Amino acid sequence: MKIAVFGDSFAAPLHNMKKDLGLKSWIDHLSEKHDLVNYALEGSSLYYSVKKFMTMNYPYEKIIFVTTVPGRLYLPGNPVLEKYGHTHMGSLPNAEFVYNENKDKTDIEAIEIAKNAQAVIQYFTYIQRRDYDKFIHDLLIDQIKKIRPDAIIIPAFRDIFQVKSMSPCLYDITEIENNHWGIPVHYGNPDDARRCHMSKENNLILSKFIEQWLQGEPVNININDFVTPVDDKSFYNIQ
Amino acid sequence: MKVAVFGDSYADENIVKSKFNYKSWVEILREKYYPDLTCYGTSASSLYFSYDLFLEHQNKFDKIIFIYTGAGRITIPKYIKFKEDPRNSIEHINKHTNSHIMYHVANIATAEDHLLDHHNLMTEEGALATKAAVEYFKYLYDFEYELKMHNLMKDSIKAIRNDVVGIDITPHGQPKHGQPKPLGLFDISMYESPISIDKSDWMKKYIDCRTCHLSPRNNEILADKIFEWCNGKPVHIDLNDFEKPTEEEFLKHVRPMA
Repeated sequence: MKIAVFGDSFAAPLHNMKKDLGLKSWIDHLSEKHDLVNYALEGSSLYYSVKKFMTMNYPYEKIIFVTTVPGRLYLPGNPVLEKYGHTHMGSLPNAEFVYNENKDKTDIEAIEIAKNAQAVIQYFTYIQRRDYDKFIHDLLIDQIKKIRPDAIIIPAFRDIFQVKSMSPCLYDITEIENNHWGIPVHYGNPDDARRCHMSKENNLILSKFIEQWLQGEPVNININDFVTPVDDKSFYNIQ
Repeated sequence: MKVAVFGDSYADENIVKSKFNYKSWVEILREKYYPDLTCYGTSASSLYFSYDLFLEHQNKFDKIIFIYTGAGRITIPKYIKFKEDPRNSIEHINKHTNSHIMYHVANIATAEDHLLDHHNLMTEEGALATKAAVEYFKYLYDFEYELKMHNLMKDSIKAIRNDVVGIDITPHGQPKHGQPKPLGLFDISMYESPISIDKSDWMKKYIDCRTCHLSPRNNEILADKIFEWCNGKPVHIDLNDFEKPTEEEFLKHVRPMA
């Protein structure tokens, strides 16, 4: 089956800055059986994915869409940001990190990056409206459904306006693992070697469910189907 | 018939009322055709601001008139507070509190104007938010994205109320094959400007004090047109239906910038 996957880090290929432990993601498992093209990108916004989807969805029999959190920023068109991989600034901590990395540098490109990151920090601090972001997010999902009613839509994050138990998402699987290892809730470590934020066991389990969804079964994440990892967290470079 | 009007300054019946006391198309429409008309139009507001009001109120009305503002405006979140000025020293005296204009940032010029000219309404957090808006327009603004969201919102409005009379300020997008580019209310505003004044330049030199950015006569004409559109005629703006004011008349309703 010819499949296209869109989404954020919950579906993205291994980042070139990350250590390759030879672990397989759910995408890798599916790729063994299907002709799969992965357009997912770490830290990207839903708008970015929809934009890609609008130009590339047609030759595929199935579309898998991992929908990220509302409100991420995508900053296309700036060659400096593109050159240094800063076109996706998904959150305030992300923008602060980029700003701090560049604020004391004196070369023109670093100054440009710092100015943009500072604008993003100010945006997230004073301008961002969660209700608007959620609204836009829902309109984009509606658009995906309108163009491809058969798209498999998998939420990466919980809807902030919903009760947890009502909205299982991929992050819930990460949370099971984090809780098992005693990792703080909002853990974010660039050295974390888990593929798509999940242990090898849960990537395999997820791939099996997606295989069923590809065959027409309704998309339903049941968190009880996932497991606590066999390996210690150190296996995944988690301190 | 209960009618609601949503939109920006093109639908704000109270804008600059204190200065030139002539009627907006909204008031004319109410007086001539729809006595039970409620106007939610708010100067400089974003489409999402109007959309939010629309969602809250649309089901109370038999007819909705929606003036679609331009894409890409910002509404500063409500939790950011601005000051109230009891002197009402600004021109936009209307049904809102006078700090309300500070929440609506149409573009970088509006944000800079708020920072420079509205000290009486500015707070520390308000200044930070307004500066953030300046930076947003400078570094983060992506018209393609804004336009996409704008069109999704318009589609959503039409899906909720397929009887909506939707009128663009500046229609975006390409004309249908073989057809002329559709016009919006902004085109009427520009049509009014005299030949002797460079169209691209006058907005930088003058403050537009026209009620809903139109002459008294064109407000009357537009009210009649909108009545026709409310009764099933397709929305279509033809400049030949509107009147060009004399230069003297036009200059009465604009003011040179200080």
